[in-house]
Amino acid sequence: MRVFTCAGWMGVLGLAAVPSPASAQAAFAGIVDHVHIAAPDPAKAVEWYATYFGGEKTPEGPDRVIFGDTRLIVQKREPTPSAGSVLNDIGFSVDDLTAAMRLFEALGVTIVQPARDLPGLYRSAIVEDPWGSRVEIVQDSQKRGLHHVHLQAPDPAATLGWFADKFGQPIGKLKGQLDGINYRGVWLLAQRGDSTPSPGHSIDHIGFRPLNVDTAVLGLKAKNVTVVTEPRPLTLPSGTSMRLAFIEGPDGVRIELVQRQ
Amino acid sequence: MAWRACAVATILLMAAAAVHAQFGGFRTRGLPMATPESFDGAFQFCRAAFRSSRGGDGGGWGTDYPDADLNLSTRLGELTKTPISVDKRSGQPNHVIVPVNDPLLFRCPLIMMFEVGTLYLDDAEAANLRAYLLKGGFLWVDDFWGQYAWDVWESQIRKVLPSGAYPVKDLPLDHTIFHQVFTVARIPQIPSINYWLGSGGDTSERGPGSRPPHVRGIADERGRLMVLMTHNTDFGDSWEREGVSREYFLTFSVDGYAFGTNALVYAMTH
Repeated sequence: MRVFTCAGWMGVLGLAAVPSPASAQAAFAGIVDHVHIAAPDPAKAVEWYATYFGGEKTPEGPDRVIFGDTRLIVQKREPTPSAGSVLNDIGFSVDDLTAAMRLFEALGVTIVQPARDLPGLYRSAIVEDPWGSRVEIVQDSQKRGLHHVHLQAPDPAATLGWFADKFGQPIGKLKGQLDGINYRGVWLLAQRGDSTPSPGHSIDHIGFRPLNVDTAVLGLKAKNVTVVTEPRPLTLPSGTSMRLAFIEGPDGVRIELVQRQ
Repeated sequence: MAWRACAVATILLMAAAAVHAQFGGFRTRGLPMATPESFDGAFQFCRAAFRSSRGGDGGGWGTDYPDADLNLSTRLGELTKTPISVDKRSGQPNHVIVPVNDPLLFRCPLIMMFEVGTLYLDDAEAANLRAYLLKGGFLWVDDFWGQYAWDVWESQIRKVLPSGAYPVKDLPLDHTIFHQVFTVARIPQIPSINYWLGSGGDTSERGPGSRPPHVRGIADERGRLMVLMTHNTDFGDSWEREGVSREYFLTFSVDGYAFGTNALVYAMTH
């Protein structure tokens, strides 16, 4: 009864009609649906990420591996490295960063930044996968597997604000320090820097999951978002079907909207 | 012995029921890199990590990891009296990853490499592996299919053991390794479960180019096998995916564990 009364007051005050992250939240599942990377041999890339970061393979397709709610999907092509793109890197958390780095070193994986302490956050290192995707590896005891997606943009606050406005979830602080949006355990972070649009790079695009893609696209058009591909159906060879659309986000980040059945 | 094969199937079936309920087997996380403290005298599966050549055929060293390593260790403990090293917190078998150039290779009675159709060894790695094998070590390579993958593998193992002194030979069915614990009367062609399901029951992952499975070996001067090669077959998947499909388990995992147990016991007793 108390809740009903409260909701009634909100209706009287017109609060429900105010556009806010809360309304966007209702239209989207509040998760990162997928991150789409590229490699000439998707099976090898899937094996690489499953081995090092513990993702689960799925009968949905041999081109993907799942970390919690989020798929890492590999499209088959020769990519340009991700560094310097708006989708600069993806982050994974491991049990033992020292062990992971020992292995990477032994196997000749490109180490961009050796392991170091980030005070108040975690230990972190940066490597490049064999196909040019930059990967930050952290040892965050509160999370294993896919940890974050790192945007690079001239105005990080504006970029994060755009995502909060379009896909819901408030801007928060990772461990009370880093601005970001927590999509059910996968953080969208943004760092300051010039960047190039993501298409063609090894981290090509990021996916969000609307509850209804057609409605979501209409809503985004009303917010002057550029729709690159109108909603259309797609059925994978495994029989998994979905409706999807592509939009262009800030700083040239390609975003896929996937409504799953 | 027929009763032994029957025993394998019975024990595995009982255990598989429990595993099937878990749907995914003895799954764990992390990269258990070998350290000097890893070894406690009981059996631990040692998976050798190696670099992949860009043009190779296959997924790389981490294929079927970690469930193949965990499940084979568990079954070895169930099917033989081999003491298995167990993690006290999780109750799961301990297992380690050892890079090919790591001196800790010498703490492993045997090492296993998967999908060696992508293998690349530099001189230092080849030298370390050669020293390990000649000193009594044992390498089992599995899950590489067709002539191209064989050629890639052979080009690399020849950096370790030159062809003149160490010929590759097909192992006949009367070789000890087929009878070490269980009698294995034929060489099973085991496909990955994905290929098997996707192809409607075919077992040759590269079509006509990988039709007959091979069990081959390289022996030292005294006839002790140093390198075991299971080509055109995927024992690793028969262990890794045992809990995914009852039919796959019955068709492939029983054979996979029978030969796997034989190979492990051979390696530790020769």
